Amino acid sequence: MSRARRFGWFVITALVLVSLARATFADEPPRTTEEQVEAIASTLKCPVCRSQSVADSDVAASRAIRIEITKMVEEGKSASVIRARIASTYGDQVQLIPPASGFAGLVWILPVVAVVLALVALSAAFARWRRTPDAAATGDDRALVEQALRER
Amino acid sequence: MAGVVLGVTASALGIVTLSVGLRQKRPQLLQTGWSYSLLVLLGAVVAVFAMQRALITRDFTVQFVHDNGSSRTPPLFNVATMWSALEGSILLWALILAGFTVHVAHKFRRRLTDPLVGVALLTMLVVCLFFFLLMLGPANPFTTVAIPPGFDGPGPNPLLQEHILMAVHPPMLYLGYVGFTVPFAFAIAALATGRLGEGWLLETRRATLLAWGFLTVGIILGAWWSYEVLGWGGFWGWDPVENASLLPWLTGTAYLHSVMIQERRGMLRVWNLSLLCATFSLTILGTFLTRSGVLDSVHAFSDSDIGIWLLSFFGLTVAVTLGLIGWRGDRLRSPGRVDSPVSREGAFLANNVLFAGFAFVVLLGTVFPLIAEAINGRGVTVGPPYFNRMTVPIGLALLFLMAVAPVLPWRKASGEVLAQRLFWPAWAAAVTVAVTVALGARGLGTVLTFGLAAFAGGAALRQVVLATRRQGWRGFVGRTNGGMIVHLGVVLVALAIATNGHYLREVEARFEPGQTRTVGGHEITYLRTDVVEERNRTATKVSVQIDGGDVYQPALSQYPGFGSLIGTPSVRTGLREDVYLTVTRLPEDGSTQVTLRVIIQPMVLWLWVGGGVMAFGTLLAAWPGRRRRVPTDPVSAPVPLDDVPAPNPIREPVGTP
Amino acid sequence: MTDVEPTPDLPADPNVPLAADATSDPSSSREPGDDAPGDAAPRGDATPDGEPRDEEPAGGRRLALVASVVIAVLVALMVAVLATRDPSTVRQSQSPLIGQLAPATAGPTLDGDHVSIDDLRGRWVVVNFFASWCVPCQTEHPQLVAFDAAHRAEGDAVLIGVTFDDKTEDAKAFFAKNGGEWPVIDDPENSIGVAYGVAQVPETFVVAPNGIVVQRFAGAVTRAELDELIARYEDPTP
Repeated sequence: MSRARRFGWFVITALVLVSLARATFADEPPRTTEEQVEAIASTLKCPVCRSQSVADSDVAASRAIRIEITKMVEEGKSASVIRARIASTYGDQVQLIPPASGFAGLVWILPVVAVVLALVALSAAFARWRRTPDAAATGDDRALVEQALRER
Repeated sequence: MAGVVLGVTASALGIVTLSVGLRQKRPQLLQTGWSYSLLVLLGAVVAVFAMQRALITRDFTVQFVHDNGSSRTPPLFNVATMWSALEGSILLWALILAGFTVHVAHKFRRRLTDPLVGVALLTMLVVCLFFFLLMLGPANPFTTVAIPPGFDGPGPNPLLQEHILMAVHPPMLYLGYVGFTVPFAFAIAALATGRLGEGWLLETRRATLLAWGFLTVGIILGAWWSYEVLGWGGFWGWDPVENASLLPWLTGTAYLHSVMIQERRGMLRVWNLSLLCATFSLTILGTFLTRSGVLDSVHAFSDSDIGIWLLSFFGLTVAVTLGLIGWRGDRLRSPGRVDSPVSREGAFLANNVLFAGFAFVVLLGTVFPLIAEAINGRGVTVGPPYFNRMTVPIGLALLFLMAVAPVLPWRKASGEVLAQRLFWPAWAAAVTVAVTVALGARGLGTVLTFGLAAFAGGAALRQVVLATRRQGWRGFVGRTNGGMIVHLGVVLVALAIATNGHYLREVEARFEPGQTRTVGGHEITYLRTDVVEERNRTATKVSVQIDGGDVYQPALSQYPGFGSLIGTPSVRTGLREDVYLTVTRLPEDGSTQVTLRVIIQPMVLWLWVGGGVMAFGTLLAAWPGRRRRVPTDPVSAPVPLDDVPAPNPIREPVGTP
Repeated sequence: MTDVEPTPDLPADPNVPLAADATSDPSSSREPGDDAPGDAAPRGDATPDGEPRDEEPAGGRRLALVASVVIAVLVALMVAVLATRDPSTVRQSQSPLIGQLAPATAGPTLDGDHVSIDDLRGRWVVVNFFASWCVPCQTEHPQLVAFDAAHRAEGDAVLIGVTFDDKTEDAKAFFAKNGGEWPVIDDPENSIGVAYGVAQVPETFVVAPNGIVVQRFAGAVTRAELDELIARYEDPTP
């Protein structure tokens, strides 16, 4: 690789890494109450509607829950406490994020297991492929090629 | 009704005849496949014709029209009413399926005596039989009902009358779903006859590609409908029905890419067949999830006991597929190998894994609540946050592959080659990342999406530029180049989704008449409320002026026959962002205040544009390419630089030093 | 070496017949790896009499068979689960509050008084969430009137109403028109509703004399149901 190109790649890498770091670790401005309420409400399911979150729906129950969340945010409670509080009266199925423990934890673990299995299978396949020798051209194969070239 | 019966008998007879013909090797029986397909199509056409006539003449003695039709429905929506509810949509499916069956019989008409074609046609007739039987049984669109004089039906569900997209979205989706039946039939035939290495794969390739294109368009239209009509301001909610349409799309996309390894290296034949069978099975499972009512969904417009039929058919399909693969698969596998993970083959293998994983996650998330309830008794909800968390990493990995795979050579790549080819795309990515972060973008996922999308877009553009430089306008058509255009569409979609997710701003506020508020840089002024009587509804329209310019009218409407008010959003679409308005509360007695929800949605237009680019790219990819000069040319022989066929077209394959 | 890019495809002529032997079959995608290594008669996938000739299992393993069986089992399980589900519109009257102490139920009534469930400890309390615009609430109202009349005389059970998504004047008018003398808490912010996990009116919760919630009724409730429930708890002998 030419020196200019190598330098170009270096610049690219540096630029990307620095920007990504800044994007990930820069201090975010503190979120307003509304934004916090919205964030928590979007992780809770509207108890009445068909598949909408509390943040998106406008039925009475959702609006009432949002008011309750606002009260709790202003009291300074954390998101997980608030979610648990709402789930304690509406039932666990109102949580849009399945809990990480218990049977529901399976929904988080199984994909990871699947990824690991896939990687293992791929490595096994590559190992096997490395072991099998290349197919050598036999005399018959050569004859076939000759014939095709002649026929054309 | 006669049409349905005709369809059933024709497909049943066809199945019997073809089976006998195959079993006893009697070619003349196999030839009749053509006539039976035609009869099935005739049956379907007659039935559809009858249904449309009943709808148009508002014949309320037909149960379906009684439940779904109305004299108040505008004509276009009246025609579309056929697929607004279960029975009519099965009818639509049967019509499209019959059409495809005839297409297959016609395209292979000179080869009907070939057992492979025979089994394929047989499979298609079996599927036809199933859908026609559904119409005889649980989904009968032609049951009659006695009506009181002067009866007028309720019309289709109001959400389905709001928008022109309703007329287009289901047919597109069904064209996609049903289109995959064709390659599936040939996959079954190939497994059953053991003949995997032949050209049927190439010949159904165009059908597969077009089916995939239709499915893509159907999904994008569905998202568009959700955005414009449902009023919650989003376009994808990981709703079970949305997931149901996404699953076959994911396996279908995996197939379209993986089949290139098969063409090039003769490998992964059984895997590709499995992908095809999975795609078809998932369309049936998807229909089951949509129609059976076991899962809560915005889409659930009907409940019926059709569920058990669909589930049984799904089970049957999977059983046949797995049976064939388990019995035959090991003997039909090819002994090729992939030399290096860093190669085009390696990239496609990774692609397979990622798409399979994606489909697995979506399927798991969708059915897990049911499984948890069955095992545990307690309810678990798997909502959008789960799906987003799981699929965003997969999506990012796919973007990366999209950038890298087109420049990877077959068999083995060197770092040199990669570094040289990816130089400019990498610059595009770096600049994009730097600029967006400088402008205030935060969040690793969002910025990574911007960067990888630029990377992939740069790689795709590079391919297109190089191809057009060599071949002029032909650089745009053909599978590879059309594929690059499709990738560009995907890049647009990814950028739109990332920008929208990160920069969306929503405000719900009360307005007095004449009051203006500033939301996200736009001036929103509430003007007044009017009640308007329309043909099929009473709409309370709220006039809102945006930026002192045009007036938009989100509404809450009452449709006779449907209890609650239906909200209609009003959207000002712009190049950079949409202003999305909904009415949440109308003025109550004694008050003139109205509550509006204003959402500033960046880049949504580019989502639809991206979808359009994907569709356009699919058409380009399906464009017939040059015929092979000589039969023994490899599938991707280099094209001579000038248009004259070279005297010696056998050249070195690309990539050898 | 210049960048030689992959080139466009060259699809086969679709009208060439698919033949059983492959030498004149231009649409075949045979590659050198297609046949078993060392096979001396690479003539496509068909032997001369037209039967497909299977190759030896690649790698000697029965991967496809194992994979099919595993996937078959998983799919069968999934199908079994899906087949036995009730439609989602049929929902049980579950509530996580059952077995717990009733939440704080106190507030100003429509008449201007104040009522609190804590004052009523020692008696059965039926907490009824309603709204004047809701049709099932109107249906159940006479039942509640009868229930209240009967138990007010006996003094063993008290009925409390709570408004949910309703305006004070409308609720007052509702009671004026339809009768009913039990205290009704006016809850404009629906905070008591949220504390009980009310999704949609009408919902009725039955609280035992010790303050524990024993049952939730989602939808219109009848007097018979309430009486039967109380009787069941009062008299455990079968």
